[in-house]
Amino acid sequence: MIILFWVLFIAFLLLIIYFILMIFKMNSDKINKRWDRVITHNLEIKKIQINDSEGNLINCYLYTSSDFLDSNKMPGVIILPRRDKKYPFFEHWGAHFALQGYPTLCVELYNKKLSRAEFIKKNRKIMPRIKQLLWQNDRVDKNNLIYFGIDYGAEIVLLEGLIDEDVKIICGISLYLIDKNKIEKRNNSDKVYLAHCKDDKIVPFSDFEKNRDLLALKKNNLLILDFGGHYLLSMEHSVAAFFSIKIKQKLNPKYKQIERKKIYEK
Amino acid sequence: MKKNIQYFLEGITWEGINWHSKYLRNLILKYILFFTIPQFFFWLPCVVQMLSLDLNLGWEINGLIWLPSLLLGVIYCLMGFMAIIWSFKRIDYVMGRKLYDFSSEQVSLEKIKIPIGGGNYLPGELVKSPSTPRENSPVLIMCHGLNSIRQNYYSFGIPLSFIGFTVLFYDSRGHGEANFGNKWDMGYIIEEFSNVVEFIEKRAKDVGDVNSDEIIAWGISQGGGIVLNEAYLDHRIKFVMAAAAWADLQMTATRKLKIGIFRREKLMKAGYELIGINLEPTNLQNRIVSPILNSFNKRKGFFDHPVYWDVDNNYRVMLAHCKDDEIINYENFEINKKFLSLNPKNYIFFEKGNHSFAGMETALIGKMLLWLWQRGY
Repeated sequence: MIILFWVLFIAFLLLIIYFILMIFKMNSDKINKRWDRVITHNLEIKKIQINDSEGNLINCYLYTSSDFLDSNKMPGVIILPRRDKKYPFFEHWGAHFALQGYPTLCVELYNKKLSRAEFIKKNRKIMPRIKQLLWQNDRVDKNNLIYFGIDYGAEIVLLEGLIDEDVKIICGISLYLIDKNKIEKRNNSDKVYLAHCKDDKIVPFSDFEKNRDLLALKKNNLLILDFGGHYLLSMEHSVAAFFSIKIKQKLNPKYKQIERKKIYEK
Repeated sequence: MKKNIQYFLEGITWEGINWHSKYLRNLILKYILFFTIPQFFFWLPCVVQMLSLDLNLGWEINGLIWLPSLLLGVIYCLMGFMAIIWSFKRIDYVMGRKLYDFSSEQVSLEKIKIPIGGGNYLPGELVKSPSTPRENSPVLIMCHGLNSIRQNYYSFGIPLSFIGFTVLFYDSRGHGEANFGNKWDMGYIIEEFSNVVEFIEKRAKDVGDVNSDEIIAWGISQGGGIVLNEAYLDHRIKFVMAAAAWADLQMTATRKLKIGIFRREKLMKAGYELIGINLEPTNLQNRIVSPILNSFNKRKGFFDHPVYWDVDNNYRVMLAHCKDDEIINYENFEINKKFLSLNPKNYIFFEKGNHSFAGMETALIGKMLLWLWQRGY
């Protein structure tokens, strides 16, 4: 009988350990696995692979909405998400823009090893190819592109987007301090929109202020949040909404208007 | 999680617990049985040996025959408590996505008090961004859910002020800073939305910063219930956006839940009943709060009672839901959609996300923006 006791005792003990581990796992997953697939009835996803300059495969994900099959050409969005996360962690960004009718290409630039300078140098080279890839979509208005980047990606889209006249809007999240010698063209920085959290411990807020001054950005082009950290935790959708509103106000894409048919008499 | 638990615990008062609920009584009984019945089996070998029936079961540690039973009883209870904590954590994992409060110096928050009569006020604020015009700005009213507070939806509403909206947040009675009424006053909570609209009308007349002809109502969960009932019926509301809203409260609240006392949906239902919510509404109560019975394809008549009307739902209503919603099951969305004859451009549903649109927030807000862009904003 005492064997039965030990079996039960160990089983209950293991269950307690399991529950404790699961609680800890949920705490960490809440941040690290915060985003997953976005599956809706109207979001279409296509995986495309391209080679980088060293012949390595890069996964790209093209997001479109079936609501816009018969619409006019729309601005296209290129997203360079966090470098430390793989698909589908960034799918929510793609879904956000695609659901508004913008064909959106998310590029998985997963690499934790390269230094900032190496990462940026390497991935700047593939931007023209990524742009060509987006252009292959019939629904993209080639002269109206939006570049969107987070962390190192923000620096790449800024440096590439400023010199590219097809890029009409650059959205950057948690942008590192930019070397002023790298900014070739500053007179068109009105197309730059930045978001930053004051409690960012990786890129201090003072660096954001220096970038703002360097690019001579107006208040209207900035979203400054008090909390959220480097990756804007809990603020992702707020920041996405801010950028979308600015895109709409600046590019004014043509949406088929829904007219009121029968409505209350006042 | 601490904040959520604290807010939940603050909502529990002995007199407020819905002891009328058979469901709650049954669940509590099941928990009592879960903890007590195994104790009988743990102590059985000990009792058998103590009765000196010439049986040596070997049920002893260091010569103490009661020790194995005690140890098993204690560790079993610990395991049970851990299972309960784990279950609550699982609720928080899915529902409590907010890690930080939305806060930005770029927007202005003006505290307001919305009079509802009897000397009571609903607390709230008007939020404006630099893009909000000084005069005649459209107004977006944000309605929070049951046992929630207005601040939980700042991250959804405040960014929309950059479109040029004034965003109005308020706490329903019994919630947040509203220190009167109860969380279970669902009928009043829904009805008092019209006081919010009257507040905007008065403000438009007195101050002129808001436009009472351009009011949009947004609500989630019970807030969805508010907007699909009261805002829908109210001709002063231009657009209605409801997320995770019910169609028929009775059907939703009394549906059969999956087996298992640690299931999230069971614990959440019990949680609502612990703070006093009536989840077994009578037919009459149900008629007052269920949009398919109360408001759809109707408007307020001369005496503010609902009368059938020809409503262009495809212009006026947007719905959103997640298929795995464990509080307001997906069937509600299908029923709402059918009753409103909505075309697919007026709704969005996600395969996952549960009741709080977990992981779908960015996509949801994208769809909301598109819906507004297609309506001239």
